[in-house]
Parts: sequence; structure tokens; C-alpha cells
Amino acid sequence: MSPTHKERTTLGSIKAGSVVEVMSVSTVNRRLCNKLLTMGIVAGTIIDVLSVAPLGDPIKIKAKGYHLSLRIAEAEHVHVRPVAQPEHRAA
Amino acid sequence: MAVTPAEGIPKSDSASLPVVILAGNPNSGKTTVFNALTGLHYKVANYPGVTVERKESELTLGEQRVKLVDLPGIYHFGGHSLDEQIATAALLGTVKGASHPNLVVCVLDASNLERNLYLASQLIDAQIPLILALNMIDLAERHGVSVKVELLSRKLGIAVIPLCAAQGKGMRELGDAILKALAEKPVAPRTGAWIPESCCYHKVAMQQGSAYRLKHNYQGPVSDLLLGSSILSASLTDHRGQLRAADEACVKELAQDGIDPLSFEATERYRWINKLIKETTSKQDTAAKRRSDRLDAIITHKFWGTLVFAVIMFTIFQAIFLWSSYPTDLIDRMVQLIGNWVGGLMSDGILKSLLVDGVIAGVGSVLVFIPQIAVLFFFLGILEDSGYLSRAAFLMDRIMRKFGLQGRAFIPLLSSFACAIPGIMSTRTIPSFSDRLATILIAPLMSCSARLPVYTLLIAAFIPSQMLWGIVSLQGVVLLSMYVLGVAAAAVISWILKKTLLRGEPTIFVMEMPVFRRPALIAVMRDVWDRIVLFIRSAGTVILAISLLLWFLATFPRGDVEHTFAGRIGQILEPVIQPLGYNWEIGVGLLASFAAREVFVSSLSTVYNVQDNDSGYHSLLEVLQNKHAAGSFTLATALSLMVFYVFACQCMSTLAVCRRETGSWKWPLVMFTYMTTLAYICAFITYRLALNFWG
Repeated sequence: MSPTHKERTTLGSIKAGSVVEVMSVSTVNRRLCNKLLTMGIVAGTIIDVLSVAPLGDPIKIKAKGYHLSLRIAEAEHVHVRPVAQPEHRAA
Repeated sequence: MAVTPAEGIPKSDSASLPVVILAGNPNSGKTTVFNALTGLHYKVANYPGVTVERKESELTLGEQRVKLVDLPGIYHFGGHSLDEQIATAALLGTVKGASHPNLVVCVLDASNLERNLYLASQLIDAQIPLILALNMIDLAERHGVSVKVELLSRKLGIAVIPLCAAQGKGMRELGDAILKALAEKPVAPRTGAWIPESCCYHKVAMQQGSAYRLKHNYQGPVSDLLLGSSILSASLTDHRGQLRAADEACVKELAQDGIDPLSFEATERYRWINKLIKETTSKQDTAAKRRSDRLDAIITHKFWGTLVFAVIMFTIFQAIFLWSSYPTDLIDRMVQLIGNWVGGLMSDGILKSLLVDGVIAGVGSVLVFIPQIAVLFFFLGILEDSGYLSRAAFLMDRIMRKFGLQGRAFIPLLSSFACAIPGIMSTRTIPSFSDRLATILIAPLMSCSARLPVYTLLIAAFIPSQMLWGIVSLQGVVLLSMYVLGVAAAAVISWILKKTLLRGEPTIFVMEMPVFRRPALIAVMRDVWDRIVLFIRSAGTVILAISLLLWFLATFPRGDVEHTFAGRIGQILEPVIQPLGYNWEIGVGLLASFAAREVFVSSLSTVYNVQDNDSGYHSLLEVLQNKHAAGSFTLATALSLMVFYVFACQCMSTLAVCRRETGSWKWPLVMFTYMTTLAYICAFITYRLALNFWG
């Protein structure tokens, strides 16, 4: 289960329809980090990338059972790894 | 941004009543719970010194009178926006002059329990007497979430009341639970057994025995996230040194264990919540949930979502103009009847002139526009309550960003179409100050309901009421283009502002999109009513006062209108406004409407009625139509005037709110200057162009 380094990527580059697991949130931008964490984007959270707004940004995701929108630039602060879909559906 | 401690909440008999605070996440239906508890009997006021809205009500539960306070929704303690800071301070009783809460009722969205429990866990750790209200339990069940309420209550050690506030279900039980809790002061055991001793702010706070009472100017250091301590730390100015030492020790300790202090609290809280959720709730897929998700997917779809958005916006504008025209006509006719009736009862003279031309004409022509205001606020309420507004913000974010704004600015700007004052006040939900300021400065460019009287009057008088392609009203199109003009200018201005005066930190756009739900009509109607009452109140005081002043200026000294005070002022102004196509009568109206725009209609009607030698009330519309036919008031002048009203900052209240929200006279001055300049230039261009085309 432990991800290889290659598998790690950011939420900003995930296509709509994919499911990922949060590995960590970058602490470079403290305010953003704080916001993401308190909204439930913490290590271990499963994220469904639902859709993309008209001009390709922001994106809409589902995490902890609710919908959240964030900009691509913000999503790039969230390190994620892909999750096999059936595993998530069961969860 | 430090919160100014609120001073001097008036003490009254009610000061001794137990205070119950409703807290909860945005979209948890907190306000619906408040409305259901109070039966819509409440007062809206601001926290003293700041303009965060505070809804307050006194109610009787059993034998007990209590004071119920509704706070702005927050996701967690602390935070950057003023709303968040005030709400946190109120919960901890650090708002000076306000008593600290005897009980907090934390309203949770049952369909979204996991994230909603975050705030609850912080409240638990702050050791405030607490009960939980699980709102929208029916929606949760329909969406396949079932909560073992009793088990949850037992695990937490405090009362948990399932509710469906929109239908009034569970409200009795909530009332009983509040009464019981006021007597028993239930405090749940802390969730934070995971917190290292050394970084326990609570310990410091509790030692001092006055955690709730301390000032909150503390600029929290790195770990102010720890232990939900953003506020506790913020409330402990007196212990700054101690805290910093404890804090540094704590960060060091965590770092030694390879723990990132910033994500520590959140991760640990969600771990605690996760465990609790697993034990007490179960989830399954339901048809209703799938339907809601599918609808949501359409509404936020690149193409279909944009189409739906455009249709909704267009419907609103057509509705304001077409649907509300029937009640508007009715009121108009009634005011005329009253004017004629009063005129018939009295003999000619000063008093009759005062009543008919001053009072009735002045206030009457403002009352006429209530239907439009009601329709607009009704639509806004529905959009907000259904959860659509956040979808709109999502759709609009990329476009708004082009102009230096963000999707969240969309809601305040849309509200500004009704009135810039609530619009400017709702910019508090924008955490970045420079984004907020840019939004405030362009908010008055959105055509507010006070301009509607001017637009509708001029459109009705000068634009033929014909249909384009058989379905679209030409008058509606002209009205819409006034709105579009304001929006376009706003886009340009905010882009310039963000490149020059307001270059600032990048924005955060992490925004919840609540589940679509049926809007609570009663709450929406109550809000519409609140707005109408506010409008009538201002029509009854400010506008009446100005109408009377104008009547005085236009009546004295007795004789020809040109020689009255108003006429003289208008004539002095005339050289300045002549290039825009305005005569001195319009000059009088413009001058008057710098107090408030809607005054233009009443003052013009006062000026024209006084000019007319016939007795009785004349519909301003008829007067204008006659003047149009006679060629003394042209289409070019009307268009130029509408454009002037799109841009001019003719609202003292807006300037006052801007002053209060930005904390200095600098920004209202910037606002007034750029808007007036813009208005003059654009009205001039419009007049010249219109003369060329139709003149």
C-alpha cells in the first residue's frame, strides 16, 4: 500500500472523475494550509474530483461527504496519491 | 486584523437573562433554527463598533426567559475574516460589555456531520456548556445518512437533539433541552487527550481562572492552531510571554516527534471525529442522493451550468420589470387617488400645497417601487437559501479573477443590485482585505434598487413598450443594459484597482458548496419583509425630510419657480450640467439625490407638480410623457440621465457604510471621486451619441 515516490502528485493535476487520497498538505502558505486542514483536507482523506468550472478552474471535489470548490493553484498545495475506485466506493 | 472590543452594549432588564448562543457552520441551517425558536420575533442589530450582524431575541421557554443570540456561521475558531473573529469572541465571552454565554447550542448539519463536528470539538475543548442540535436530520436520512443519536449523546456526554427546523420538527425537544442544560451546565469531556501537556493553553488559561474574560489582541504564533487555541491564545493577551514560551516548547516537542505543528490539531481532531462517526453513523446510497448529485452536476457543468445561470439572471430582471408592474400600478393609482382626495378636501393654499405636492407626492412616488424591491430580495433569498449562490460563485470565479476579484465577491455584488449597503456589509465573508476593499469600492456600480425608480420612470416615459421578436420587452432590454453597463464599468475599475491601489496577498477560494435543498420560504419572506420595512422607514424619514426641504426650496419665495431657492440653485448648476443635456429642474433633482438616489423621483415630481398650476396630484410619468411629446425633455436627456445614475455615487448611506467597513474616510472619498467623474464623462458621451443617432 505504501506509495512509491512516483505516484505522489498534487490535487491540481488530477482529472475530473478520479479518486485520490490526501498524503499531506503543503505548509508553505500558512493561511491556505490552515483553511484546507480545518475543512477536512487532512492526511488520509479520500477525495473525489467531481468537475471543473467553465474556464477550467476552479475544481469541485467531494471530501468527507460534502462538496468543496477550490482553485487549481490551491489544489497544487495538496499532495495526493491515486486510489483504486472500488476500494473507495466500498468505504 | 484585530477586533475592536465592542463597547457599551446597552444594559437593560434583559441584562440579567441567561444568554444562549447559537453557533454552527455556515449552511448548517442555524438561522432556520433561530427563526423556529423565536417564531420570527427578533431584532437585528450590529455588534457595537463593528457591523457584524447580531440577531437577538428574548423568548420564554417553560417558565424561563432567555436571551437567544444568532452568530455568523463559522467553520472553526479564529480565522481571518471579521465575522469569524467576532463569532469566536462572542462564543468565548471576550466581547467587552456582552455577557459570556450561559449555554452554546451548536447546530450541526446532520447530512454533513463529519466536517460540522470540527467546530463542535473545539467548543467541547473550550469547556463551554454545550448541547448539539442535529439539524436537517430528514435530509440526511433521505441521503442515506443515519445517525445513532442516543449513542452519539452518550459518547460525548452532552445532549444531542435531532431536528428538522424548516418543518418545526424537534423544536419542542430542543427548547426542553436548553432549559435543562441551563440548569445543569453540561460540559463534555475534552476531546484533546492527545494534546501534549506542554502546549496546553487551556492549562494556562484555567490557572488564571478567567479564560473567557481576557482581551483578545494576541497575534498568535506558529502553533496557534494547536488545541483550537486560535482564540484561546487570542484571548490571552495578559499571558503573552508565558504562552509564547509554552508554544515554543510545544513546537519543539512536536518537531522532535516528526510532527508538523500546523497540521497537528486538524489531523488529530479529524481522527477523533472519524472514530466517533464510524461508531455512531452509517451511510448508504439512496435515490434522492443520486438525484441531488446529478442535479448538482448539471448546475455546475461547464456548459449547462452557465446556461442555467444566464437563464436565472435573465428571469430575475424580466420579473422585476414585468411581474411587479401590476402591484406597482396599483400603488401608483392609490397614491393618485389619495392626492386628489386630500386636494379636494382642502382649499388652495400653503397647507394644501405642502400636503399634496410635498408629502403625498414625495413619499408616494417612492412607495410605488416596493414591489420591485420585494421581487428582487425574494429571488436573492431563494438563490441563497437553496445553495445556488455558492454554485454561482464557483461558476463565476475564473471570470471574476480576470478583474482581480474572486467568486465570493459575486454574492456581495449580486446583493448590491438590491442595495449596496447589505452588499458592502456581506463582503465580510471575503477573507482577503484587498479583495474585500476592491469589492466594496465597485459594489455601488451595481445598479441598486434605489436606481430602479429612476430607470423605470424614464424607461416607461421614453422607451416605447413594444416587444422584440414577439417575446422580449424592449423596455426590459433597456433596463438590462443599464445593469450591464454598471457591471462592465465595475470590471474595468476593479481590474485597475487591483493593479494599482490594492495589490495584495493572493486570495483563498476554498469554499463549501452546500447540498441543494428546498429554500425555507417563510424565512425568505421574513427577510423580504425586513427589507421592505427598512425601505419604508427610510422613505418615511430621510426621503420625507428631503421632500419637505425641496418643497420648501421650490415654493419659497412665492412666485415664479425660477425665482424660488430651488430654481436659483438649479440655475447656478445649469452651466455645469448643460453639456449632459440637463435643465435646471433636473439639476434640482440631481442635487437632492446626492442624499439618496430615490429622492430624484420624488424631488422631480415635487418640482414639476409645483410648477403646474392645476391643483391635485399629477403622475410624474404623465408629466414626463407630456414633456416628451412637447419636446422639452428628450430621449437623449433621458438616456444621459440613466447613464449618470448608473455611475454616480449618490447615496450618503453607502459612503457611511464604506467609511465604517474600511475604517477611514480615504476609501469613501476615493469611491465618491471616481464614481462622480465616471458619471459625468459617460453621461456626456451618451448625450452626444444619442443626439447624433436620434437627436
